[in-house]
Amino acid sequence: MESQESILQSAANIDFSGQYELGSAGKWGRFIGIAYLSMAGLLLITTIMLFASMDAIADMFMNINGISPEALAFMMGAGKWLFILLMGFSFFVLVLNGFLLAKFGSSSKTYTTTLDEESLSNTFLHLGRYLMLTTVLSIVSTISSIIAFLYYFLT
Amino acid sequence: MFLTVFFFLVSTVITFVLSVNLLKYSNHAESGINRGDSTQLYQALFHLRIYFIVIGILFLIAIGLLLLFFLVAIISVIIS
Repeated sequence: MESQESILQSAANIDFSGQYELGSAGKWGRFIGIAYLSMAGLLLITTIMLFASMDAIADMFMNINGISPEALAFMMGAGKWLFILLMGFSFFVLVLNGFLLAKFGSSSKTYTTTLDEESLSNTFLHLGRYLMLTTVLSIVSTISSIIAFLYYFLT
Repeated sequence: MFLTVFFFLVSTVITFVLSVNLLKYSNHAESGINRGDSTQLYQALFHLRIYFIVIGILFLIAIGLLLLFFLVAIISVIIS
């Protein structure tokens, strides 16, 4: 409630230049959001195609490089499901990012055309959620990089 | 080796630019909302716009490279 009041109180303080900046940021945000959603679609199609031709890919690896029976068993067993899990997580993150940015863009466009305070509140709400998601992903990425780095140098 | 260093430097510069703009957005937005200062809010939105423009341009470059890759793949299939 307190944060909503803060946003609404500051609404009167966003002047014409600020509205232009917000509108422009919203346009770019919507473009990035649509790009994220397109990437999610491409990822889904690629995953389905790879999953459908897993046997052919395993055969190709065997013919080109040679592959141990253990590695082949992992690839056709747990590896396949690990791959699906990773792709599913990536798809979910891309869709969520894209959705939040697209909503941010559309809310900012509504605000710049109507100067409606609810649209401004929605604009910052979606932007805040997007930045929160980005922060969580950055933390996860940093921690996993440090673990991988330590594992590489300690083993 | 040169390419690795080059990509490392480019990604460092991009990350730095993105981080600085996001940090400036955060500082100006907090200050603008707490004081009710429109200049600070304008500065915050300006840095937010720069942040999104940088990401947008990176996406445009990536889309361009992807299209180029597909074009080269299609041409090589047609030729062969």
